[in-house]
Amino acid sequence: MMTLENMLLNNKKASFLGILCFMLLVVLPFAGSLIYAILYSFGLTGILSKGFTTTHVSGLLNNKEMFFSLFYSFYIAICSMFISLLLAIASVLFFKASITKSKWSVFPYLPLALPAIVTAFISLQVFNKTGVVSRMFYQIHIISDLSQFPDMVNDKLGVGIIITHVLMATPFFLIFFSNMYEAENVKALSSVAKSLGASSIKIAEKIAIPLLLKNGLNTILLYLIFVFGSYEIPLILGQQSPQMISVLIVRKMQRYNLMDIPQGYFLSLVYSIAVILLLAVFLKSKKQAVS
Amino acid sequence: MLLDIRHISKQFSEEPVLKDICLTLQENHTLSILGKSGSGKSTLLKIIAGLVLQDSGEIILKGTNINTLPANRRHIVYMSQEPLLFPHLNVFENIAFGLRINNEKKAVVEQKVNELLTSLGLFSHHKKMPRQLSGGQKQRVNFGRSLIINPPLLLLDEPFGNLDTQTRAEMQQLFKQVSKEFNITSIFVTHDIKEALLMGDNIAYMNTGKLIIYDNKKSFISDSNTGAQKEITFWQNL
Amino acid sequence: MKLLKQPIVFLMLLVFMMPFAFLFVLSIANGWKFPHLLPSGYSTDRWSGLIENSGGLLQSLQLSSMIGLIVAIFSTITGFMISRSISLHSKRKYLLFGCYFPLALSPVIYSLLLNHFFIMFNLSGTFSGVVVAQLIITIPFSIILLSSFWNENIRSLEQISATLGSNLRQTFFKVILPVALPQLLVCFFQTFLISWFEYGLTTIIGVGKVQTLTLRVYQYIGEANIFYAALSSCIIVFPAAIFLWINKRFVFSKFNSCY
Repeated sequence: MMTLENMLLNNKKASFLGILCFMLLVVLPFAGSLIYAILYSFGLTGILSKGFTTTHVSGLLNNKEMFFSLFYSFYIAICSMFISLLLAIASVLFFKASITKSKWSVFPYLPLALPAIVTAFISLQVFNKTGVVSRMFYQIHIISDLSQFPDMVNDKLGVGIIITHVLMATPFFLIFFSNMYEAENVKALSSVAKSLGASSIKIAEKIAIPLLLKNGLNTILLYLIFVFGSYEIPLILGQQSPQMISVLIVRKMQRYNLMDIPQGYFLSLVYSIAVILLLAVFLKSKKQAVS
Repeated sequence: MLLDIRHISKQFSEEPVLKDICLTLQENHTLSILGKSGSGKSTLLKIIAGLVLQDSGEIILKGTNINTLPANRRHIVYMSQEPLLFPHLNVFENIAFGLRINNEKKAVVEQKVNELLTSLGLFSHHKKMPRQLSGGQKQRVNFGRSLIINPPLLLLDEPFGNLDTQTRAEMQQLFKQVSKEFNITSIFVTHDIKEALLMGDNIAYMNTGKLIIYDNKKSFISDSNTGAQKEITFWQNL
Repeated sequence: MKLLKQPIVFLMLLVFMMPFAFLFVLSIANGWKFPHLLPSGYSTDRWSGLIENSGGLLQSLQLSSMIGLIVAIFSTITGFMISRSISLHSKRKYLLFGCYFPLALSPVIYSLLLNHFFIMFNLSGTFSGVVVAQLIITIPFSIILLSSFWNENIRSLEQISATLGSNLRQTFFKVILPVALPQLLVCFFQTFLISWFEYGLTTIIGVGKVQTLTLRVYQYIGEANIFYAALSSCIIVFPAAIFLWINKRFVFSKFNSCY
C-alpha cells in the first residue's frame, strides 16, 4: 500500500531522475564541449596533438583577425539593436501599443515566421546591385548603371547585415514592448505625468522609455547575444574580411588546413567566454529583479 | 471522539514551527484556532491533511492512526484561504470533481451536485468558469467541492481572509448554516478574534508553535494573550 | 499626428506583408531580368513539380517535418518533466540559470564544439544525429519556458486534488495536464519552429547529408537559382506563419482564459 512516506520518497526519486536528465542533457554536453575545446586549443587532443602547446593560441593572438572579428560582431550587434529598439519603441509610443490590440494585431507577428536564412535571402534580392531597390532607382533615373548603386550587401560596413537584423528584430521588439506597455500600465502613468504638467516629450523621456528599457533589459541583452553570434545572415550577406565570429569559426574548423582547427576551437572558447560574461550580467540583473 | 492529535511537533530548517501539539475534536463540532501569521496554524492543518509529514506525534482519526496514510486516503479535505478552483473546469465540474474521481454514476453526480448548487445559491452559475466568478462565489464553489464527498473532517485555513466585510459576514452565516445541515466536523483557522468566537463551538489559541485550548469562550476572552479583552475595551471606549 | 497614424499603419502592414508577397512572386516567376521591377512571366510549374519531388524539395519537406515533430514532442515532454524536478529542488534558481548558457551560444558554434562527440558515437551525418543535436538546444529552451508553470498555485491545486481523494495518476491526468495544456502547446509550437528554421547546426551535424528545407534554400542561393530558393523559402515560411497564427489565436487566448 502506498504510504505517505513512500509517496514522498517516490516524489524525491522522480525529482532525482529529472535532475539526472538535466545533468545528462543540458550540463554534460555544455561542459563536455568546452572542456574538449580547451584540450584541443592547447594541443592535448586532436589529430595533430603532440602534447601541451600554446602555438595555436599565440598564432591566433598575434594575428589581428580574431580581434577584428570580435569587434566587428559587437559593432553589428550594437548597431542592429540600437536601430531596432529605436524603431520599436518609437512605434509603441506613437501607436500607444494599439497596433498589437487592433484587428491588424496578427500582422506584426508575421515577420516572426521568417527564419534568418530566408530573411538574408530576401535582403540579398532587395539590396544587391541587381536587387529591387537598385531596379527602382534605375526606373526613376536615380542611377543609369548598375555600378552606380552603392554596395549594400557583402560590404565593409555590414549595411546589409545590419538592415536584415533590424528587419528581424524590430517586429519582435514591437510586440515585446507593446505587451510591456500594457502590462506596466504606461498609458495611465503618462496620464498622471500629464496632469502634473509634463509634455509628451518629457513623458517619453522620463517615464515611458526608461520604464520600457529597464524592464526589457534582460530580453535586449539576450537578443544582443543572439545577434553577436548569428551565422546565416553574415554567411550570405557578409564579406570575406572581417567576418562575424560565427562565420570565422566555421571557416576555421571546416577548412582542409588542419592547423586552423585548433585555432577554431580557441576562437570558440573566446566566443563562449564572451557570451558567458554577457550572460553573467543578464543573470545578475535578473537575480536583482527577482530579489 | 473524531480526531485526536497527540504530541505533534514539526520544524523547518532547525526552526521549530509546531511544539508538542495536542488536541481532540468531537464529531459535529467546530474548533476555532486563533493565531497570528507565522504561528504554525497552516502547518498544523497540512499535517492533519497529510500534505506535510510531521517530525513526531500521532494523528488518530475515528480511532485509527493515520500517520502513514497519504492525503488522498485520509478523506480529510483542506480548504485554503485562496479559493483555488480548477481553472479548466466550470462550477458544476469543480464541485463534481470528488465524485468523478471515485467513478460515481452520472445520475448520482448530477443529483448531488444540483442539490448542493441550490443549497449554496449557485445554481444559476453552474456553467460559469472560475474566472467569471466573484471572490464570494468562488469560496462557495470551494465549499461545495469540499462538502460533496462528505468528508469526516474539514480543515478551513482562513477561508474568508480575502473577502470584503459584507461578503465575509455572508459567508460566515453560510458556513454555520451548512455546518448544521451537513453535520460537519471542522477545524476553522483564523486571525480574526470575532470570527474565531463566531465560528467555533470550541476555541483555541496558537502562538509560536504552541496550542492552548480553552474550556469555554469566557476563559478565552479573559486570557490577555488572545487580545480579545483589548478588542472589547476598544469598542467600549469608542 | 493623428492624421499620420493611418498611412503609417498602412505602410507598416505593407512592410510586414511584403516579404511573403515577394517570395511567392519570385517562386512563380519565369525570369526576372534587370532592370525590370516585375518578372517577365509567371508559371506554376515549380509548384506542381514539388509534388513530383523535382529537386528533392518534397523529400526535404518531409524530413524537416519529421525532425521538427520528433524534436517538438520530445523536448516538450522532457522539458515538462525536468522543469518540475527543478522547481522542487532547493537550488532551483541556479539550475534554471544553467539552462541559459547552452541557449545563448550560437547553435552553429555549439554544434562545432559537439561535433567530435557526434562523430565518436556515429551520429554525424545521420537523421538521429540531427535530432539529438537539435534536442540539445531545444530542451533547455523548453525547461525555461515551462518552469513558470510550476508555481505555488499548481502545487496548491495538486494538494487540493489529493485531499479530494485523487491519487498521483488522477491528479496528473485530470488536473495538471489539462491546466498545463495551453503552455505545453506553446512550447510544442515554439520548439517545432526552432527546429524548422534551424540551418547552421543541421549543416554541421548533418554534414550536408540531412537535406532539410533550410539547407535547400542555401544550396539554391549558392547556385544563384533564386526561383527555387524562393520556392523553398515559401515552403518554410507559409506553414510557419500558419503555426504562429494558430499559436496566437487559439493557444494564447486559451492560456489567458484559464487565469
